Amino acid sequence: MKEELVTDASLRQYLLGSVDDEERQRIESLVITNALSKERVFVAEEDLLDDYLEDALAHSDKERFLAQYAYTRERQHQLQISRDIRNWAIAQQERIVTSRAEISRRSRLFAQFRLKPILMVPIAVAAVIAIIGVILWLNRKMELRNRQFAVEQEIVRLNASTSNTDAQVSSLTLRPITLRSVAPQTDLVIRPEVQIVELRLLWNENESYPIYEARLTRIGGVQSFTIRNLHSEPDGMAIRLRLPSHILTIGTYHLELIGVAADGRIGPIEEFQFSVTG
Amino acid sequence: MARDLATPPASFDEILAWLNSDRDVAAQQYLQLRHDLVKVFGWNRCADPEGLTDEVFDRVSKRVRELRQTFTGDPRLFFYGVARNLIKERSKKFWFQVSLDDTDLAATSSVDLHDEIRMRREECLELCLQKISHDKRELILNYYAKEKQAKIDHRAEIAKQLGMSVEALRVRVYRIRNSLVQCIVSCLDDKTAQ
Repeated sequence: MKEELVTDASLRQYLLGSVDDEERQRIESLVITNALSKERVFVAEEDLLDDYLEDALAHSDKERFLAQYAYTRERQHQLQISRDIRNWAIAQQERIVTSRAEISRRSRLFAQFRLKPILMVPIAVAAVIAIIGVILWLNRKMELRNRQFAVEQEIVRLNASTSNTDAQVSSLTLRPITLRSVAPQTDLVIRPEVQIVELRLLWNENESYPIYEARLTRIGGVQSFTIRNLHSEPDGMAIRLRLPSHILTIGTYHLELIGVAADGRIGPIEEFQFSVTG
Repeated sequence: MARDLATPPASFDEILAWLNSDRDVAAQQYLQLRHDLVKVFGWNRCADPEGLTDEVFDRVSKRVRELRQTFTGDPRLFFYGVARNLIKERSKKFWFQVSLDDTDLAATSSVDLHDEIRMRREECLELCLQKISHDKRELILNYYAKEKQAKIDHRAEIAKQLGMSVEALRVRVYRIRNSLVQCIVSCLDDKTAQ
């Protein structure tokens, strides 16, 4: 009664009730006395149950199986539990497969919208350039703003009534456009040593104002300066406006002068124009 | 058809002493022997394996004192011999004694798949699955991933990955399943008792 002589095939035949008495006793004696042999029979029995549950038994074996395993409630119970475990495993597998299929479907969908690797580098480079451009633009804008602020502060200082300066000044009297429309355009030549340009803006209106506001724009440029709190000369005929020479580059300038009443009301506007030449 | 155990306590002690001089080991062997005999009766299509196993122990208990002096060899084989005699004696009575209720497995299954019973089984299965380790659950899951012809290659692949033979894999899966079955049976008993 050697254990090695018990094959899976003979165990299956035993479990199906298809072995002779001698083989039956041999196998059963091993089951009683040998733990390993017993386990082999149990494993063979599980395989048999699995084959039945997945309908993999030959017709004759299936009939014999039913004769064996439909016999007692204990065996039916064993079969049902095996079926439950197997069904659980299959259901879990199906869930995993479905889940993987869903992930795969999403991946494919995503891939359709995903850019090809060959395009990734140029797009990344373009994105970096765009970001750098935006940063530079913001820096430039900030720089211009700071410079304008500094210039405006400088103009405020120059136009303060108490402001006296030893700097080189170049003066120019400008008439409103309406009065000199037939006159030749006023040109301003700024010599290198000149640091301040003083404009005398003739005020042609009848009414004088306690303060004036001037807005200077270079024609064709984007930058403009607003200078507030300007005062007229004692006779009220002209308003003096001082500008730092470095803001006046070659080109034509347009200047608006507005009278501001004591109550903040805006008065008439006089317009002036001049050109800075080499 | 459960029978009352008629084995007198003194004889039961004698049986244990015969199985092994260490009483604890003997108790384990006794339980194992009972289990094995139940299985053998079941494989022989006996209608009441538990009752017949009791009968085996009843018969042996009556002669155990004498047997301890005279019988040589593994005492478990004596118990098995008695079981074989019982099977032969009652073969006409038990062999093919298939009740009408039990002949059609499908019909029986449909009865057993009654909602409440099925729910209990499912609850117990869920509970017991949580008690085993993740690796064991994964192995069971993987083991049944394929069916029929494809499963042979699949299981060979699993065995290879685990660095074991297919035979060893079958045993490992059987042990996991067996522990699950034991757990489920115990769980169902508890639920029935409630």
